[in-house]
Amino acid sequence: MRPDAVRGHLDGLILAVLEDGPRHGYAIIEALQTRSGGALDLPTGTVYPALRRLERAALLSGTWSTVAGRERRTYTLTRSGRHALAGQRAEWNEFSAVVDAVLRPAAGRPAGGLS
Amino acid sequence: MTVQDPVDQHLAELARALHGPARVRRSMLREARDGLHDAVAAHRTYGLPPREAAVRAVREFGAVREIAPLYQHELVARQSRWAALLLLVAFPGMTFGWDLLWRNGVGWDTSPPPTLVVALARLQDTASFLVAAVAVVLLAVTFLRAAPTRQVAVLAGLTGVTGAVVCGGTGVLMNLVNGPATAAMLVTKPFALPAFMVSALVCALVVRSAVRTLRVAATRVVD
Repeated sequence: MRPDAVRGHLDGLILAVLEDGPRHGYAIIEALQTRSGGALDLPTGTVYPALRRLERAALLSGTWSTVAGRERRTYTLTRSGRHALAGQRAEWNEFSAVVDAVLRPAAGRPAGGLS
Repeated sequence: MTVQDPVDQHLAELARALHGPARVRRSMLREARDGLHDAVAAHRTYGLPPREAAVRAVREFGAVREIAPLYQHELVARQSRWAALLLLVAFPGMTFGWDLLWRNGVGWDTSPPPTLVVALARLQDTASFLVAAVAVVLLAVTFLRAAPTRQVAVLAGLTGVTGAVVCGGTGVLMNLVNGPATAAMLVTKPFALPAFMVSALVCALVVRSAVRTLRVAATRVVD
């Protein structure tokens, strides 16, 4: 998948992988790659500034803590982050349903349009 | 000649490209280093030799010219937030502090003060209120993910410089116009001199923060 296609959705994807619990930066990158089956191929260096952006917007809280004997910056989803994630999911579902309906070949399209 | 580690080389290049609050910048670079070392370790578990693992981790991280602007954007936002916060604390704080001193007898004994002094005092209060109002808006904007950080930084810097010049300038003018009363106050009221010094220090801090913020806003990241 092209990095440009992912970039607009990166914030939502990061919030989603943090829904299960706190993770540090590289664990977030690994989770993104695992969940996408390796299809997400964006520069890993774009993830760290995105984490800072989400932290600045109070959607994540980031703290330095010791994980497996190493000092790591760990991120946790805040309450605002959970709300933002729910909003992004709803928006995406609506958007993908609309695009899917338009892109679907004419043969598979229900008569009478969308509604 | 020693061959530099690709990770160290990449981080040094990234560090050279970034300008902003030292603590945040250090934390960002440390996190990037951790991430790169994690990536190297992951590639080594798949059997890559150390140098190849490092080269691959750096390639996956992305070129500095692509990544640095994203980091710099956040540094500008953090600098703007600190600058706005300082304005929000400093200007109402100075107004409130002087008001408190005045109510407790640390002031001129002449009453009423000259008309020009009254006008300058009103101007100072209004400027202080306006700076605080602008600071609240700027602070709120820094919480937006898509905040126009450079514009916010420029506004925070200009507001700080203007506020310090107007409030500091009117303060100096008021005391010059009312010179004999100020001199008497400095001699008879022990808290007057420390209060002037604290005000001057706060103005200097505001100007320093504003200049830093304007400088960070003007930073152009490598192409």
